[in-house]
Amino acid sequence: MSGTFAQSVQPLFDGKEFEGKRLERIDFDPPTQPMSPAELRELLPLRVGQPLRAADIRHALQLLYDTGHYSDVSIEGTPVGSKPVQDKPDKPDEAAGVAVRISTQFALFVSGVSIVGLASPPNRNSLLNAAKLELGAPFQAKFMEQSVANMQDRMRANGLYRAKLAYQLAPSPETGEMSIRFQLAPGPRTHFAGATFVGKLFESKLAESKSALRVQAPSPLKPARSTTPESLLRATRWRRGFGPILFPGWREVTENRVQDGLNRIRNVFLSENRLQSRVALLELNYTPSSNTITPSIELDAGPVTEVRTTGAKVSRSKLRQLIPIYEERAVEPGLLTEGDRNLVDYFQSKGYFEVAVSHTQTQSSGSQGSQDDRQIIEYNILRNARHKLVAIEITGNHFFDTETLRERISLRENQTLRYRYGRYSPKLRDQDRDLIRDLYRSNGFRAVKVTASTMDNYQGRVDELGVRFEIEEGQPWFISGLQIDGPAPAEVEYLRRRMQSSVGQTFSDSNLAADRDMALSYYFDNGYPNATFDWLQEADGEANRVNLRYTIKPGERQYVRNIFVRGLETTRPQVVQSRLGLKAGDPISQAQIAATQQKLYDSGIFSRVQTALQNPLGQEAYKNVLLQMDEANRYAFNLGFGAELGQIGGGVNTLDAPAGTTGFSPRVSAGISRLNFWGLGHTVNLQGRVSNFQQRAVLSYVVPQLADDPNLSLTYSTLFDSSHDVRTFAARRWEGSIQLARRLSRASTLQARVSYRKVTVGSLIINQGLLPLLSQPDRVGLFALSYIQDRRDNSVDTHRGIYNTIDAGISLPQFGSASSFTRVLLRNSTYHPIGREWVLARTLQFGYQQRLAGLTQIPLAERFFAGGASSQRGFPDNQAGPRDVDSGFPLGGSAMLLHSTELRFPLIGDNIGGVFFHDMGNVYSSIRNVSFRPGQRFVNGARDLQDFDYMVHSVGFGIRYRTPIGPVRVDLSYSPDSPRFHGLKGTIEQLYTNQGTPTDQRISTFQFHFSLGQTF
Amino acid sequence: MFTRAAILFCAALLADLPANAATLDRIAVTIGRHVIAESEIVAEMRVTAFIDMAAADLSAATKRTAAARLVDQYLILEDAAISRALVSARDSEAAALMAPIRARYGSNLEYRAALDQAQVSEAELTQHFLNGLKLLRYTETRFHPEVDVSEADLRAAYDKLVKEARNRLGAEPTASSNPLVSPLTHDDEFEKSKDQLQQLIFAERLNQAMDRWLEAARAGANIQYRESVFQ
Repeated sequence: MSGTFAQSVQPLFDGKEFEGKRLERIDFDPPTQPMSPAELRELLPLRVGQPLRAADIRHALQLLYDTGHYSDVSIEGTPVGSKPVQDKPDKPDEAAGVAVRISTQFALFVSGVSIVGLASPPNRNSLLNAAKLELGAPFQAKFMEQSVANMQDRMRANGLYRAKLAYQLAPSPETGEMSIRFQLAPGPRTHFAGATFVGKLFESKLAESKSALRVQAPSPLKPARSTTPESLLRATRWRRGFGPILFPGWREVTENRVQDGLNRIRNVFLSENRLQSRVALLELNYTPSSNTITPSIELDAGPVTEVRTTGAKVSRSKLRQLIPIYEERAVEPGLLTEGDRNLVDYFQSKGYFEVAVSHTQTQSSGSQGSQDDRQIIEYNILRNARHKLVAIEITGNHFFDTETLRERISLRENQTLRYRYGRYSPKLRDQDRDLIRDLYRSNGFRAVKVTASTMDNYQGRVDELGVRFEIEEGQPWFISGLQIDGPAPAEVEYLRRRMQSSVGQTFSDSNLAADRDMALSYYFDNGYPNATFDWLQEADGEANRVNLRYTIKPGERQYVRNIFVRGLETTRPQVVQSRLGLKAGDPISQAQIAATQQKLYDSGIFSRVQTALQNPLGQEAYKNVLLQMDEANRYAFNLGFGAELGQIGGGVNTLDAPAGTTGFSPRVSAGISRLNFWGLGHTVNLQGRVSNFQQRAVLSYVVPQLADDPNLSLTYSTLFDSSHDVRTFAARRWEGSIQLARRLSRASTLQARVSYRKVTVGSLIINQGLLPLLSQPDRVGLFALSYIQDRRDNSVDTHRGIYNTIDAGISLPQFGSASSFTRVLLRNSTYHPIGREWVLARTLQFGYQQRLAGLTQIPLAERFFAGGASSQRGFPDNQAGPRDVDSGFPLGGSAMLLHSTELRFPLIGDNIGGVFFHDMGNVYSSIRNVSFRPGQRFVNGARDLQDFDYMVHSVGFGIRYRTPIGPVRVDLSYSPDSPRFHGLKGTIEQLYTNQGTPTDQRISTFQFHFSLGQTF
Repeated sequence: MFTRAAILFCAALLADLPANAATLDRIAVTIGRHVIAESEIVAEMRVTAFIDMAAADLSAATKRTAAARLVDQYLILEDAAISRALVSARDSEAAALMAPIRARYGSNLEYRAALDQAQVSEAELTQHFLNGLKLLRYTETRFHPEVDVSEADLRAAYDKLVKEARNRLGAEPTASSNPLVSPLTHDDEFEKSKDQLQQLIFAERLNQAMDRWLEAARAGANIQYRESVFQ
């Protein structure tokens, strides 16, 4: 700030001797200003060498203040040089010119606001919001008093009555920033000490009450009821306790706890149908000596409200949904009328399209001591006959085909399950009529007329309805000429190419609005925050033709002066710098600022990222961009519980059920993440999972932006896994891997991965001959490349798009492998919408392994296993493909071909859907044995029970229940040609000693799968 | 004492100002982003003094009053600009208001000399009247709908005036001495005075409405006085 600000200069306003004198020099005090000399020269109306005018000086004050950089400005003048006064030789020489000095006091703007000593609640954000110190806004010391008062209010509301709050200001005049640091000493949190109830409720109870409650009841006596002061106080849960068991003492006060307590009292009244009850917190009475508060609560129970229906039955729970007086806890005419409408909608959805609903409201006063005041709201429902909407006819449409229009309207003809009576109401019909009309208008048919009519007894069938939309399209309006005024010619061409409106095209308001939005977005994103768009429509000579004139005024362009990043404590600045979408000198783009903010949030290391322009209202071309960061907690924990249900059971030591039996396994997962490791934005994560079939621990280290490249990431991971998910063997795996991933585009990612793993297998249930070979520990060093292309509209519940993956790897002795093999896995999935709600989805998976050298067979744990809820639903989990000739347990294969087709459709309501599916494919012993043969081979008239190289088909039906984390899935499949195989009755010891009893077995033709998420 | 003098000396050195430097102008008040310069306040004081045929009083108290007047003027004219009210005043109207002032002087030369002596330009004087006219017109348009004078208000005001007159006179006046207080001609006199009363009450209430609005506008605006200007 300036140190010499205008204090030592005498005001001089009684003469104008400087008026008109030549301006010799302009100096600034202090010499270094927030604006550059060039900017100041351009801004000021004062010019060296020109005569000085008082009006210019006054204007200069306004211009400098307008920039927002100055809180005060003073302009002084000093006579410079002299000239003799010719006609008055006795007078001293008169100054020939004047030197001007502009003394400025710099304005400061709110920068980082930090709080130390926080005791949540209130949390940091709540206190910061209360402080109302907006990032980038001009700072004024007088605001601090109010900020502190607001914050103290928040703390008192949360029981921190003894909190002490101080603040420190740290001005940085060179950057115009004012950092504010609040120091909070919260002190002990206050406790509840009862409650004071005031109001029309408890006079009679008061005398009986033996509790320590302070209860006042100045109003007239009210009838007895089960609600007592004690019961209400208990309902608040302000007393320590667990459920109905109360402990000595009271809970600590927080704002949420106070509000929850009040809501629970309201719920008590609501449960008594006292919808007009009033529960208001009057004040929190604080007792400093005990550091306790006693909330003073005003109560008015109000009358009991009884809602009845006549003419039709509606369940109590449905009434609570439909009549908003329950939700709003108020009985008002508007809400009762809304209840009428909701009941009409409800019955119309049931096919009673001509339903009429009205209501009456009556009051009855209960006699003292016997019954309360009571109001009865009676909904009179006249359902009339039930109809079905069986046809929707659309006529007169030429520009849009009928299917396009039908997709947009909300009326629905009756369907077997979802809309038994169709979806119809006069209101919906009229909405659809308006929707069709607006669609035409937005496409240039300004004279379109749409009428909607309902046909009762459609085609002579009683109680069936048809709706007809008759459209008179009229002539569309066209654009004869489009003139764009304002921007430079190059920009006009750019804008013209992107505008919806163009010469020869139809003229519509929606195109116009799109043009306006596009043009303004373009300018806003290129540093013109004050751009304006006006348009004019002029009739052309010809009918239905217009000339359009757009006038765009970009206004002054604004640029980034500097970017100030604040709030970093442990994070290294380059982590933020590499994510900035702007740099000094760039035009200010709100889109880029928002993108920067999003990238910083995406890094996962900041809990809050605020962005603002410093000096937002200042009129200047260059502005500072502020980024205020709050770092997130560096440790994150997760704990999850789940269960698996499926064909995963079966004895461990017996061979009775090679295909598994229905089993259940609980699952627990837990993890800890250390975010922002070394302040570099890296993440270390340890994740564990335990179930009956798997124990797994993964430690990973993720570098999300390698070499500051946002599209390049590096992951190191180590893994221990002990699993028994393939019933044939148990495997223990130790693995280390490094993966480099590059995002090629929004939809495409390339990954390169080197991994080394050691796998030991045990509990093998295979014939004795294979034991020596397959029980060997396995070492695999693998180099793999993956390409992922994901163009799905929604990865959880896809309706359209494609998903392709290619994964190719090679295992070589040079990487430490015991055996050499190559591996390729391809997946191609496509999703095709049919109409608005049906989806046809299909997926193809192909896998192939080729042994190159080393061990004579590809190790068991490296083989393909398939079958189950996510691959081939004709099999239990991992049961497809070749099996051991003795035990019948799956052995996996070296090739895999699977194809699934699903027809997904809505079934009941909006959340339950259905699926018809067909899965085909299998795991094959080798690529040469991949076959489309639909069943097991017959040899000499007998089924070959050792033939598993054929295409297994399964069809089925599934139900999907939509949840926020994806659909819950139940599938039932039928596979007519499920494999039969040789098995063994007995124990593993008997298998090894060839003593078991051979028995033929078969994978069940029916399979049941329960899972989460779509199949693919 | 010595220390204080030394500090002042050092401050003067640091100030790096020649002894004959003078403040040409400075920010006196800001209302949001609008600046009222000290020179505007001084001009306003001089114009007012010239109209009142008084010597300009440039004391701090008068300066603050003049500044407050300019703040109110700005708030009202800004409100007019925001509401896009068509508030205009012509130079000829200002000239008509200035005519009696000119008439005070024997000749145009004398008038000019008086202006020079008062350090007021004719343009400043004209602008002063133009602003006044705009303010008057806008406040009438802006607050007229808020002001309602009913028959009962007129009657109450009339009765109050009568009572005050009685108290003032100390006795029951006769009809001839004061028709307002004559019980015999009460209604007739009320009817006669109605228009005059209406104007009086309307003007009073208009001012009250404007004052209320100004109070709210001042509270809502970020008005900062630079105290150094008013010392």
